[in-house]
Amino acid sequence: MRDGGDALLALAAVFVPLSLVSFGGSNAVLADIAHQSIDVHGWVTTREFADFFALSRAAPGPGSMLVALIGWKIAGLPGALVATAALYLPAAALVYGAARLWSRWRGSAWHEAVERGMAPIAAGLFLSGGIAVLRASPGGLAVWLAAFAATAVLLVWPRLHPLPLLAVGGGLFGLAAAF
Amino acid sequence: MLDGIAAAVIGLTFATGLRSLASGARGLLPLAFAALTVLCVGILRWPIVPVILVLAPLSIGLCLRQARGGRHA
Repeated sequence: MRDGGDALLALAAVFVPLSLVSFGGSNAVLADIAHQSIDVHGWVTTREFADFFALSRAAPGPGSMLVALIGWKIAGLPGALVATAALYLPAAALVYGAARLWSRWRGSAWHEAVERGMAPIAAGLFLSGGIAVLRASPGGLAVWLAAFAATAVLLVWPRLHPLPLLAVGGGLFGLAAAF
Repeated sequence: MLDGIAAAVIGLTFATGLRSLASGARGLLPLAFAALTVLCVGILRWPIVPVILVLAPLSIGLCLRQARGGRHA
């Protein structure tokens, strides 16, 4: 654990800006969360990031528990709280302000252009997040193949609940590790 | 075991991204912006904030121009 105050400031400095551009949720900024916490700041190893990522999605609760785990690792409970608040509060404040303007502009050309213009960028950010986690994953080729298989399964059966898929993925890799 | 879970969640992320492309990004221009975003952020690993600050106004501006052009035509 590093000097507490510095670590907390660094967490906020990384996650507050990301919060403000997290269109479509924290998954949109996943690529930067990975890049910043692994390569730029060295807060977590690739192994830890992959495990935190899996844990944060498998456990109940918000997906951005990922940053709470990263914050926890470098600065304990204060780190977890600061990282979570930094990722949530700015976005929440922005959405609150924007929502009021937004309903006033409903039906205007602006409104439609923002929605249509942001949709492909948000989709691109999601895809980038997946790519970033795959690149950071120390699990190698097997993880890439399993991720693509899971993508295909979900595209073919869109209404499949993700939980059984998580269970199958975890089970298969658990078995593979046992033998 | 965690790698398997991570793989499944990555699959979920990809599927969500692809599906929202299919529903909300029809046409060449939106696809180009999605591809540019993936190139800059996913492949080149540029920081997200400046990438969005450049791409978002461009994409929104072009949509706005398209809408106005369509109305005049």
